[in-house]
Amino acid sequence: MSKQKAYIWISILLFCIPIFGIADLMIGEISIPIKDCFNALFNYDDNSVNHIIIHEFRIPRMVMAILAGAALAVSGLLMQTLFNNQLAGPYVLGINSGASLFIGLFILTGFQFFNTEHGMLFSALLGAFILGIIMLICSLFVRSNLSLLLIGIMLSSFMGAIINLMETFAESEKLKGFFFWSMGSLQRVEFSQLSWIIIIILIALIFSFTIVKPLNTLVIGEEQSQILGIKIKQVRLSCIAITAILTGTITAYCGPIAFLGLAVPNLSKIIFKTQDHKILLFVNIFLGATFMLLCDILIQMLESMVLIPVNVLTSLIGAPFIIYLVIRKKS
Amino acid sequence: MIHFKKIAIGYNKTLFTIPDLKLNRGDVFILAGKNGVGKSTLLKTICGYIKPLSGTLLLNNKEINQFNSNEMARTCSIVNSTFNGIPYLKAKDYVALGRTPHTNAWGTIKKEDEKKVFESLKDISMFSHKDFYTNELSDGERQLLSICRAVCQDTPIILFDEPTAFLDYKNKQNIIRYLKSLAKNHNKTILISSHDLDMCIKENIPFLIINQKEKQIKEIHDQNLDAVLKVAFE
Repeated sequence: MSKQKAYIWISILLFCIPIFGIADLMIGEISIPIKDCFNALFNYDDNSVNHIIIHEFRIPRMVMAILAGAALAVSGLLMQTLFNNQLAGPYVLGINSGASLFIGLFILTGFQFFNTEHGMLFSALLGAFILGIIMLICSLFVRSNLSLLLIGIMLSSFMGAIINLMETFAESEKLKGFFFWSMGSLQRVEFSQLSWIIIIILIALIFSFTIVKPLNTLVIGEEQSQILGIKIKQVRLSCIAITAILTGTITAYCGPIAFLGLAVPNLSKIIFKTQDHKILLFVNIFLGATFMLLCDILIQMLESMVLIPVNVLTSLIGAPFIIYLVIRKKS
Repeated sequence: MIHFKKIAIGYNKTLFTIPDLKLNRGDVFILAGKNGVGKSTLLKTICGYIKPLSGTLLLNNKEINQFNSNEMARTCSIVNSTFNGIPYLKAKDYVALGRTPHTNAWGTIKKEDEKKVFESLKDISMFSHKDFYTNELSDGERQLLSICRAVCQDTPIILFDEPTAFLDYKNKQNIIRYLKSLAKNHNKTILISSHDLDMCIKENIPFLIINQKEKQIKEIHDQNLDAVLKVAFE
């Protein structure tokens, strides 16, 4: 795809976000007319039930959908480029499960690393970062990407086992809390918390654009990047740090969301047919956000019949997609 | 210019030593020797991946451990024997990656960068393939692109690690001739490790041969296959 054409498509995607965003505000158990959506934003009236629903529930939910989609898609892209493997992603490499483990420690055992208001966020960030570092160290010793992927999957199930172990000892009330967290939900954030999450995610996303040049050379491998004068250790650390912040934050507030980080970057490369990360980063942010908004709209439309947790829906869509990718690659 | 002074080459154990050797700008040498004698190790030492076990190595009169990574990438480039191709990476974009050490922090490819890329593609008649994806090309064509990439890197020193391994006879000949003219016309130091001894002799290129027995590197200028074989394999 030519650059001009790519930028046109990116603009279309950018245009999709407010449209789906507003649709996401309108659709739900109670349909709310578009006029009320705007009024709730710009002309808030706390006597109107519709306004309260929009303000307290649907805006945080919509914003979290956009942030989660963008953050996880970019994390996936960074991991795929860093490990030079199209099946890599924060979920597959165990970075999600690192955050899960520390959240598990936090909720189930009450063991707190950070005894503050944002304790859960810091726990998730720490867990994600530790797992990122472990994968990084493994990548120094293991040459083959396939082995590295295997290590990631093994680490994931290992941590899953520790979480299960903690669950058997936990009190039923805490167990219930953790269970709901692990199903994934976009509805857990309050309006007042949004500004912090937006700032953290935005900073990490902007930072990812500073490593566009090394990402573009990493496509042809680490050794070749070194020949081209790239400081490889710095780039690795930046990639892992950005991924840990993005994945950790989203995991803390929305629970583990599977497959999105794997599916969207692959989809973006299939559609845009490019390895230029300047384009890919934009595409993944917008495509990830659009994808997540669509998922959320779907969840809300089905809400009256069946309550689907977000993690379940992304897995339902994501798993067949990955199977398709593998089959397509072979043929 | 590459200047070796009392250098010992190897990973942990000395493979061979170079007492004193100077490769000037405009020089082309074929690096030959048995498998496993240390040809790749020597090339990796020159571009700074492996530290020499002892002695000093000067590139353009500057000691090698004083280069930072970007300076090194502007001084010395290396072409490996294989490039496997990447899906969705176009030939011209792959070659343009060679401009990386010269571009800004965003890696923007400017008009003059693009001009260099197209010129080098024309030089080895790959211009018609510029919009192909690299995973759809043959091994030989990809090898030509790797050479293009190194040329675009625009370094005074270019090292080739068996660049002609995958090429057909005609392409081998073309590449060897092209590298020769590149050294002469653009004043570059070129070192090519190769097993195509016959062809290199035919093209009149001097040899640097690593002799395993004496653990020494020898310069051979007379174009005689027997003499080359004797030093290389006895």
